[in-house]
Amino acid sequence: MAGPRAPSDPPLAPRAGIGLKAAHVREVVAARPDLGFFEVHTENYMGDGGPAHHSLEAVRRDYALSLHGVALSLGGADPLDGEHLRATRRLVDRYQPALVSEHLAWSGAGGVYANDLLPLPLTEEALDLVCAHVDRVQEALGRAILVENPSSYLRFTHSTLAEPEFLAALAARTGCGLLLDVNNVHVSAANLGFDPVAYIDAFPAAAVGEIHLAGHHVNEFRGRQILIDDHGSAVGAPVWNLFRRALARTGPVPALVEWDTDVPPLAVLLDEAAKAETILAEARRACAA
Amino acid sequence: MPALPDLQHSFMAALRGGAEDAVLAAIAGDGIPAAERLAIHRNNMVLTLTDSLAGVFPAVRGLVGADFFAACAAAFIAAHPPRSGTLIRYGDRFAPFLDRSGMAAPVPCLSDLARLEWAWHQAFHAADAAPLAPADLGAIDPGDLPALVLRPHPSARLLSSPWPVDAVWAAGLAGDAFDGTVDLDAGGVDLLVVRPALEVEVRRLDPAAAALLAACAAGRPLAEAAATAGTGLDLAAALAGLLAAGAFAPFHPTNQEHLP
Repeated sequence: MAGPRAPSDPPLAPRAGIGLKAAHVREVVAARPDLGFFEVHTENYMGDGGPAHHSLEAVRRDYALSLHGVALSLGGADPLDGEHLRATRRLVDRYQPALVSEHLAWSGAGGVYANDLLPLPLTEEALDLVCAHVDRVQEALGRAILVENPSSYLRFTHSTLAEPEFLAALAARTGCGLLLDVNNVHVSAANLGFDPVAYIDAFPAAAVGEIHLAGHHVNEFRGRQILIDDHGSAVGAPVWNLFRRALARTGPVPALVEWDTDVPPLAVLLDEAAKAETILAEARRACAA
Repeated sequence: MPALPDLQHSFMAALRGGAEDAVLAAIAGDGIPAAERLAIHRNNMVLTLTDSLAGVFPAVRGLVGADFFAACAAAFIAAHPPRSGTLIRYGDRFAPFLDRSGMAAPVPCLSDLARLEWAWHQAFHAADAAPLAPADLGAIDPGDLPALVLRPHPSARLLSSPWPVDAVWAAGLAGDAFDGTVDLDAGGVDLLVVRPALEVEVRRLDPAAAALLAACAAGRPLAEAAATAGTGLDLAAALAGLLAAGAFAPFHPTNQEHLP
């Protein structure tokens, strides 16, 4: 089992960052907006070369980086994909990211990849499996990772652990940090019918190394709403409130604004990041008081 | 209570259109039917993979329209789902699938267009290398040239088609379905797709130059490659054109394997 490790080395300043989008790279490199960091999806840089790497090199010269993986399938009953893990290691070595993160989810079975973050039953069996996979990933990468709470559309009747409890045990057993996505908390709470504030209050705050903020889409199903975590709009008021609530427990931590579909002009993302920065500043003052 | 490996196998099968009963039995309804909850994940798999394919094959989509493209993509995803999370590599079998499934039958050049876009995608993500420069070749002792092995640039791909597929590609990127601007009877093309620096380039080659590059790519020494390319080849002109296009890999600085 891995010993306790710092979630990031060197630590990332508790500031706001945004996801790096191809459409914004030129403007980012030219204007160098005042941001704490950029985050990218690890899998988008698994090609050997080309413009994607060229852009990331240019951005990395000026900014700290967070590598956010979506396909390692930490919760998959199949063995981890060794080639995918080696490709991740090569990117970690090349770009020296301040943060490396993945999801509490599984992505496929029987050698088929679903390109989705699929839900786990929250059982001791699943906890043992995810712990073993996180240990293996941290071993392979030579560093601690952050694991993100999922956006959920369903729950399994045989789950025996609450999600904050599951993630607390994962962090305690593997030394990993946690990525608290407050939009996911809001989405899951609405879809599964739990209290998002109680979830935040139960979350293992000391393990949180990053917070994610994003927009979601509201679908109607026969008079009931289902929220879809599509990262395609501005962060909603309830999600900003959960962000404040979370910061009151975690203290200031790096916070990312994600916007992955219907990507707006860079200025819109910078506005969202500025809002996050204002709330982080309040949290810093509250900590100092 | 199903064991985790069994649950995940059933779940994946259900996402791919198989039986749902075992999975639905394990999902809480909580006011929304379990089947509706599962459907969110099933839709997500097809929609996000379709988006991924649309990113790789924008001209195919532009040519046939979003609805027919979505139908082709859904059939392809069902027949050939991704085998790894590195989606950059997903789509290599799309062109042969379009042929084999008969889905491309209404648009005969469609699978060649897909081949061109896959070559473009591979070139985009290929390893970076400064192409072999004319001066590099000039530095070789003329007596060594016949036995010289020229390797293609890591991004270089050759494509032969009985259709003017480069013109079809341009029309597809512009979102123009066949509006009469592309003359499909204009004849076939030999294309070089290559990324000598940051931009992927698609160039027509004359058939002899294409044959020369193909023979070089197969590891033939230059004299042999030139003989393969046939009597229509003007070797000096073909080499100059290919060098100018950035079609060859640099000589490796630490070994001399290109030399006899």
